[in-house]
Amino acid sequence: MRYFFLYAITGLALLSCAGQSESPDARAVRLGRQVRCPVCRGVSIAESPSALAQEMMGLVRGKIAEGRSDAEILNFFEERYGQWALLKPRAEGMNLVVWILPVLMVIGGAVVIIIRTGRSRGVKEERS
Amino acid sequence: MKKGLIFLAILLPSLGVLYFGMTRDPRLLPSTLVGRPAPDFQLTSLDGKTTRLHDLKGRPVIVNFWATWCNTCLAEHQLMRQSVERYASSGVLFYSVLYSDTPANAKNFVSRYGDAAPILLDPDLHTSIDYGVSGVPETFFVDREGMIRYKQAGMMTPSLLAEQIDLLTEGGARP
Repeated sequence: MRYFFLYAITGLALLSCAGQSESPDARAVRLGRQVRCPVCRGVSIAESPSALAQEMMGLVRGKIAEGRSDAEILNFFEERYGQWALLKPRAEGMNLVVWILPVLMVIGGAVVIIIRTGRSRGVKEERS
Repeated sequence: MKKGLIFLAILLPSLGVLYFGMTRDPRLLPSTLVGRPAPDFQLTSLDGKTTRLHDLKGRPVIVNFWATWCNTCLAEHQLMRQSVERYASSGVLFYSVLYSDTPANAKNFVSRYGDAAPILLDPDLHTSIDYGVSGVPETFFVDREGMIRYKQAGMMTPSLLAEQIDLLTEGGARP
């Protein structure tokens, strides 16, 4: 019963999110956060106050108004600045390491914790 | 002791990767535009003339992005002045695109340090973005067919300029 309510609340939350359409401004900020500011260090164009980043954000807004897709807008910057322009590297080629490694590390950490907990339980049981 | 070593074995490479990433100069990455058609532009110069890159097809073009607040650009300006003069008869065209700066600053700069290539204004930085400019100076060497053949991030040297112009003109621009 307790789980039924949990699932119901999660389901309703997801449905309410799906019903909401993203405003153009929110979409511009979301996309801008994925594009690296070329004149800053590790900052997106949505967060940078530099003139270049502001103009790039203006281009993002313009392309949204033109009806361009997310992929088209990100490709626009990638074509000019290279893949380096994307703060979230594409999951292909050597970039896969960046995506897979954290998952492997979490799994590895979980395995280590499980093994250690199992051992300490065994030791406790032996002692008792 | 063993735990400490494992911790260091994870921490040090992570810090190394982080340091490497933070200190890399993005301008040293190879430009994705080299070997591709130069993005067309239509810009107004300081003296009010309109220049469209597409109209310059058939002649090698050197497009230099610069700003008056950039010290390297000041040093490069002298080289640009000499080169414009040196290659005047060879058909090579030089253009300087003003990046993130004001026309008034550019006019002051020219009156103080002399004229070099025509200065084109890029007030909305769209041409700079089209060329993937991430700092100044940056120079693009465009061949007769309108293809970008080379990009120099940072200051040009006389030998590099001569070498690239040689490649653009198949040696036909040697003074």
